[in-house]
Amino acid sequence: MAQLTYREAVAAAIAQEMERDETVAFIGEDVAKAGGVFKATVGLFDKFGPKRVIDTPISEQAILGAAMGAAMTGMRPIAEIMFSDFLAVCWDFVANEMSKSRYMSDGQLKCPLVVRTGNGGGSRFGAQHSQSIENWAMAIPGIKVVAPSTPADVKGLLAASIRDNDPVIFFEHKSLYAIKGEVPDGEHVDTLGTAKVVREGKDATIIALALMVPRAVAAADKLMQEHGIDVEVVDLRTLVPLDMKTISKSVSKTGRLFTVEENPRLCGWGAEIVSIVVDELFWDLDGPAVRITTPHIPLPAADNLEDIAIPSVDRIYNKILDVLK
Amino acid sequence: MNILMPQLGETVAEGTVSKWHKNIGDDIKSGEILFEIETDKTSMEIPATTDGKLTKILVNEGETTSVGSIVAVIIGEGEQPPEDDIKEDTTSENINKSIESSQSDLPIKNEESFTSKKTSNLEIVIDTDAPEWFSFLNEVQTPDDNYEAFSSKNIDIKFTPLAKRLANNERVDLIKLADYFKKNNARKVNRKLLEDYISSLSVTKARSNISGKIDHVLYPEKVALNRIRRTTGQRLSESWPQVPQAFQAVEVNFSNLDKTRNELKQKYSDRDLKVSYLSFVARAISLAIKEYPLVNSCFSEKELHIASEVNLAIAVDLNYNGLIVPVLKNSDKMKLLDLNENLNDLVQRAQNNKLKQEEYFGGTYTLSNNGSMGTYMTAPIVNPPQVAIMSFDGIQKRPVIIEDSAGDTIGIRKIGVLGQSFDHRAFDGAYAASFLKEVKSIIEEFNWNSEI
Amino acid sequence: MAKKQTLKNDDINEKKRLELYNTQYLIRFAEQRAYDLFLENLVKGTSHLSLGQEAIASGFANAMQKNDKSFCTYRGHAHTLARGASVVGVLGELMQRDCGLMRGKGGSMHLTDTSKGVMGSYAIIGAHLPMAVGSAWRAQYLGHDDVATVFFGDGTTNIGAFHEALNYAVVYKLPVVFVCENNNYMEYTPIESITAVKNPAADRASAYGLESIIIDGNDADEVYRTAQKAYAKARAGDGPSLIECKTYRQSGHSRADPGSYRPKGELEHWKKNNDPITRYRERLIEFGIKQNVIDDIENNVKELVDQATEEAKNSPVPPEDILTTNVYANGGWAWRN
Repeated sequence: MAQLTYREAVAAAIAQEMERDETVAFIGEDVAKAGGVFKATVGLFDKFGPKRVIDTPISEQAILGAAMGAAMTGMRPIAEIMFSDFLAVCWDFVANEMSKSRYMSDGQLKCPLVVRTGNGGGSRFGAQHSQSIENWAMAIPGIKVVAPSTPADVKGLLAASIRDNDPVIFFEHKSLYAIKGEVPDGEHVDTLGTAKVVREGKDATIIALALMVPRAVAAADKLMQEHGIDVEVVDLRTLVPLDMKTISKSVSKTGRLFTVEENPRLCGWGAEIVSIVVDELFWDLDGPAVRITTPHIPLPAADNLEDIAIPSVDRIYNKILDVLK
Repeated sequence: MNILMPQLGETVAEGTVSKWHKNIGDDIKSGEILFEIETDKTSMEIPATTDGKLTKILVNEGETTSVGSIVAVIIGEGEQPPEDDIKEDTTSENINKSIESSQSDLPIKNEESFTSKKTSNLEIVIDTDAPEWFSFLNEVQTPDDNYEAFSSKNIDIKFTPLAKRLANNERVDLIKLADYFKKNNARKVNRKLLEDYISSLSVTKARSNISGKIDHVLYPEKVALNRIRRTTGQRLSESWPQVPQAFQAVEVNFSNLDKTRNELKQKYSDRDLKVSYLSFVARAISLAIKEYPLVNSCFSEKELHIASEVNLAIAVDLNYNGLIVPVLKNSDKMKLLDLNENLNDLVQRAQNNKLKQEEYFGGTYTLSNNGSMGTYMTAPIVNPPQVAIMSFDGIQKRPVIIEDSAGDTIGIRKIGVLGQSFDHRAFDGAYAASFLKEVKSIIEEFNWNSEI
Repeated sequence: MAKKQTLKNDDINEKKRLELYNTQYLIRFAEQRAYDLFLENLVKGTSHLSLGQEAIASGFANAMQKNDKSFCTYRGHAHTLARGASVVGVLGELMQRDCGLMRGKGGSMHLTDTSKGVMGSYAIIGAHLPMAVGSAWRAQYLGHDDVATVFFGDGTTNIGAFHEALNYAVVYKLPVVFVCENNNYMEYTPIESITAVKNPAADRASAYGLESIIIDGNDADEVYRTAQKAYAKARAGDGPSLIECKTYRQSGHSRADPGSYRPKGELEHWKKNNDPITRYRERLIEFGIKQNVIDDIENNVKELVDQATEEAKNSPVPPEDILTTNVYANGGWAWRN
């Protein structure tokens, strides 16, 4: 086991896969010589050289299009879109091209690529550089959507995404880049579509993703300490494919569901989970299923305002306490 | 060939013929303009796609028709006039004929037949274990249980869905529960409140601890219980602790019945009539109940409520997939042959899932036929709110002692055991035994010929 | 226009000339058949025909290697047929039958036959240009010798992806050939009225450090020679080319469009004086090819298309169970467990 930061885990995963498979190459803006604006890909250029780690112009459509063309014809490229908000600039490639070409060609065209992007708020970058948009990606049929919360998950799930034969959008959380965690030594490959119970409990279930996971755990610990309420926290890790088995097991055990989402209120990923639970697990619910989300606004830049907007440990704690009492 | 109104414009549904360039009787060459049309978006000239004579115009200038409908007919040389919507007769030529030319290889030649096109190589990488029920229009599995039925409309407290389900499982008396909670000023019942209430009734829970630890290494294989079995399990679970059951049995000599059975066979040889032993037992029970009405009743705390009808419930096994108990209403009003016919029909329909709604309810006494499995005797479980249940097991030839004026001899007779479990709060062993004795004597001594 | 050639100084051999003609004639006849089938209500939805633009598809396709990749727009029947995709597969896809290239799942605008290097036809304007660039990147990266050709219309030169793709391809010197089929009209609007420069593709070449190349897109020989040069350049590692082919669209933008925005007489003028097939037939005769050889080519094409039409007409509709197949690489579509 080694202690790695979340950002080091990104580079480690890419390095692991590039060593293993020569068709893996990596393109993006300022990713090579500079090691990425978030320093998430430091060392790759030195190790693999300019042929395999490429600095591109500011051309999001060309970046995703080129990745797709290369993936269609024999490579396994990784493309970085610096801030997930920018995916809107090249959204055609996510929504219309990489997701649909296999289906429209009835299996003739393939697209084994990974789009890595820096997602989420908390870094005071302002509205156009802070949104969590994994829910937009969840709505597109034909792709896979991953959002890890720990360095070990980053390494394992990014490696799995690179090996996956479908297009994967890999959402790294900007505010998690600095956190440290234990990462298994040697080759580490996780499995997409598997959620993890990161805190066991019996009184309620919280489903959370990325930055919201440690906050949910902190809120759960506080609820236990101060009120003896024992809450289970599930780190979804992947939105598509969705691990309904783990969600079902947890909710049928506790009877109460909360989601903690960084997306703006309307159509956040939690809305879909609640909808499925209220359908399939209706007779296991012992009370309303509640979503704790960022309000439906663009994110402000000022730090005090941003901290109020994105669900905080206290907001999660208070809401759950309020609902359960 | 039928000339159709073409689809001009992707969202257009109709077109108007604005001008005909040809008349009926004209000879048409492929490519010549036939007519012009206007849609709400645009107008266009439409050429003929075939040679022939224009024989019919069905939509005149200024008239509008929907896309795809026939506007005219062109008959080619030697062609039969088409009937309304039948396509032209098209026989596929020899599609594998290679196309040769006097020159050497041209790029598009030797056209291969494209029938049965397969999709290209799938990379079978199963990284999602979709549930086996997952399919088009079925992406989420809505539960088919409905605990709403358990709610009474007179109750004005709210339940969480979980509490409703648990209340149903526990067979909680809702009226009592409502009184209890109203007294305690609670208007909403969740799991905790319900469980508190149930434990306050000190009803022993016969339910096994579902969340108890199971050694999955020792028990690796799971068999899901279907709905019938789960429901049966629930009923039996509540019967067991609540009903103090006793069991008694008699041996019955079925040999005398054989005479009647053979006579029936001969009399109705054309119909291939078979009267089962079960029918005789059912008839005997129906007759015996007249003398011992208490076995055909329902128990509630202080009183025994005697049924006005004899509705025999017959236990039917569904191929090891569960047990259902359809009801033969007013079985006492049926004589043997009718009873036999209705019984067979009921059982068959039960096995083929063709029972009527009302046949699931209203049983007053249950008869369980285990004979086909060859068992000697079965102690069945009483099916509340009924107070008794009879099991009829295998009939076997056995050596018996025959007593007559000449002394005791050994003979061979067909013997079967009838066993009855009963609710000991309703009546005692003496009564129950007398009933059994009555059933036995009817089977052995009744003038069955009077029934045929 | 190239100097008049004779058999003596012919750089294009007779065999290749016949292939060039065969391809053009096949496209012409098949597209006309597609139009007829539309009038018979057998081709549904929308369809974009290439009548009049056959020389471009034929010239490039016949200059390509078998393993070259091509990307085209929704006006892609010509480019798909030109690379050798089966006529049954194309007509079947238009008629939404099971024998279609994609079994009816893609439709007219998305014809794909990867076995022939046709890496899809694309309906979002400009999207496939960066894809072709990506294919070229892969060829350079893995040391393959194939070139990517991407076909697009004059309207595409105004969309962002066009510019991103060109810049990217030039910066990395990628083996990709950009072919602009300038048929004078961006959908219903004359291209000049909404483009800042006269030659929508060629006049932008210098912005990307590329040579400005304008050719007569209705002369299959000129197209063929230009294509050969571009492929040689790409295979030598000297980077991309941008080629503007002047041509004319003889049908409307799509089936629904009778083309009434054209000035009166324009269509007739092009059909009479500058039809690629007429011109090439005349050239073949000039080069001494006998009429009966030409007739044989045409008859074979007719027979092929007729047979394909019958076979496609008799093909069943796609079975319902393919509705949810091939969304993901495992052949399925499950998004959950």
